[in-house]
Amino acid sequence: MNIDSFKMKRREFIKKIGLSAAGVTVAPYILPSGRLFAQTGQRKVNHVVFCLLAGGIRNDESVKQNEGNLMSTMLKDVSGGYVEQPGFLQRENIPDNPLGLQRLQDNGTLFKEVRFAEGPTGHYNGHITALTGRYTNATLNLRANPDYPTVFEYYRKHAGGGEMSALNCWWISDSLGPYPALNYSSYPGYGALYGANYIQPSSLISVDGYNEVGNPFYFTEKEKDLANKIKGFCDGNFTSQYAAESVGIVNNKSERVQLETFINELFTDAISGPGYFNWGSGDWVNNDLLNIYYAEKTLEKFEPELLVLNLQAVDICHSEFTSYCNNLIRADWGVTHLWNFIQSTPGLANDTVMIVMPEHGRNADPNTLVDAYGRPAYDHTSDERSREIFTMILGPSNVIKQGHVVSSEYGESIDVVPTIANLLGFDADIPLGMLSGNSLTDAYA
Amino acid sequence: MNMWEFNKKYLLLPLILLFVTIGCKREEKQYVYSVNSVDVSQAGTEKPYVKTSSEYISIAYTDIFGENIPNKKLEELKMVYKSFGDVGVTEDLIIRNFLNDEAADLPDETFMQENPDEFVIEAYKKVFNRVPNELELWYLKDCIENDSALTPHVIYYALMTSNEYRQF
Repeated sequence: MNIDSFKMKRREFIKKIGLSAAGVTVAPYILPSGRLFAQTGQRKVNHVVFCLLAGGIRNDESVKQNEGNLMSTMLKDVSGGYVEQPGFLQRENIPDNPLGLQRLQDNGTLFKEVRFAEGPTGHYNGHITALTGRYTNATLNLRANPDYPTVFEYYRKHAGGGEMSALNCWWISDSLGPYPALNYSSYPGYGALYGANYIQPSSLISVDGYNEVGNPFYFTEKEKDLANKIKGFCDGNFTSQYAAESVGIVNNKSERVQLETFINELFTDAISGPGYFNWGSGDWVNNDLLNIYYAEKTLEKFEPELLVLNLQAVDICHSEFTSYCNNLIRADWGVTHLWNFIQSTPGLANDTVMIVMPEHGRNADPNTLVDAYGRPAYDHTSDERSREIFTMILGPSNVIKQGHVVSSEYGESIDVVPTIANLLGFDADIPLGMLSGNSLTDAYA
Repeated sequence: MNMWEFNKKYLLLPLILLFVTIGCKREEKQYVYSVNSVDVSQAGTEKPYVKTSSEYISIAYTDIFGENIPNKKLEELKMVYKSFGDVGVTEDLIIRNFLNDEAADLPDETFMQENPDEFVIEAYKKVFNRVPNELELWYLKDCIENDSALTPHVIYYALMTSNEYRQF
């Protein structure tokens, strides 16, 4: 080999390496999405909605349809369809299927035999398991944030290199109690900095809520500037002592303006909105449907990439089995309404995967209570039946198998977090050992 | 005596003498006189604890209305406080709702304009539970004297939504 040509090649090599290195360094900063860093994986969709059809639902009354098809907008009839029994909602009082003749399961994959394999079958345990991808034990602290990162934190930290706006990420809970604490964990390196925005709509958008925060003093722009100037001065003197994340999730100034506008819009809608929650008569609508209504409002306003909501009205099964069945009918209709809304909303349609899963089941044997119709009630105390759940995954046909049913045992409740991570393309960025579940890949087209 | 033994003998002797000299050297104590370092801070400025929702609401109510919060109102406000994730948004709305209440007990604008020193000191004592330092007093007094748009509402709102107000 000629020495000169070798030198030239070496120079070219160094030049090319230099350019490549510069490219690798610069490229992540100029993503069209505006994100600072690229996630490692490929996204399958840009939005995931996870509906925790919680409160404890047995497969007997859902996918097995032992009481007739109580979920007739979601599930195809196994035998005779909906059977009107004493105390059950009358057919004419149930609004029409939002999807017409279609059933929700036609839009995706139904896993009929999923397991909540470990840990107590309590509601909070079930919620934590579904949101963290880890089973809990009996020492769970109801007054504290989860010990391990939630799917919200994985998403905000790894899908956006820590720069992901919290407006992209929502937890919409049907009740207070311990549930507000599920928007972030106490795990080192994660926590409030990567938490989700949280709303419990039936408490906030209420008469009491309006009385307390619905009539604020409005400052002029000049006054706002002055207030910000003085506040900035005060905060500047207190920097060394203040840790923003110690008070929870924090949005930036412009995001907070959007959030206040959102709250005001919800108050206005509840007070005078022509279409406010016109989903049926007072006997039909319940708190679950209200939570779905506000989930739709949130989706419409922010088009978040990740939204989780829960429903829990079926938990009345501890004392009234008949009401449990009726609330299952309502929840079924609400979930289908939510899917129909997503498919009718530009920006979300054909780019959203929705996962529906109860947090756990209920016992095989009844407790001692019998309702007015002579039906026994059921608790959920970790017997084998209370570990049986189903999971439905809906999405575009190029992403999710359509009309696919898996009747054999497949998947666990800890698999939802890895599935969401995979769908949004950040599963490979989650540190090894954090999650023990697997993506529910049998649903993928 | 061969040459090797001779060298060894004469090399070892100075070494032994050196060790003995060092070993017998009297240690001179060296005294260094100085002042221990002390963290200086103004009384009342150390606020390491974050207020709970109950504490924040109760204290804010008392600061604005000059009386204890009724239990029913506290419960309603706690419910609202817990129902939204970003407490910064909720606290801002709560404070502005308090300020919009006719019963809000704030000094009037005339008093503020005529007695800026007293107004600022009273505001700091009420809101931050301490007196302002010289810089804080000068800064706020300067704002009051040079900007006619500044009202007691603006100042109280700014102080009560500041980070220092979240802690105690």
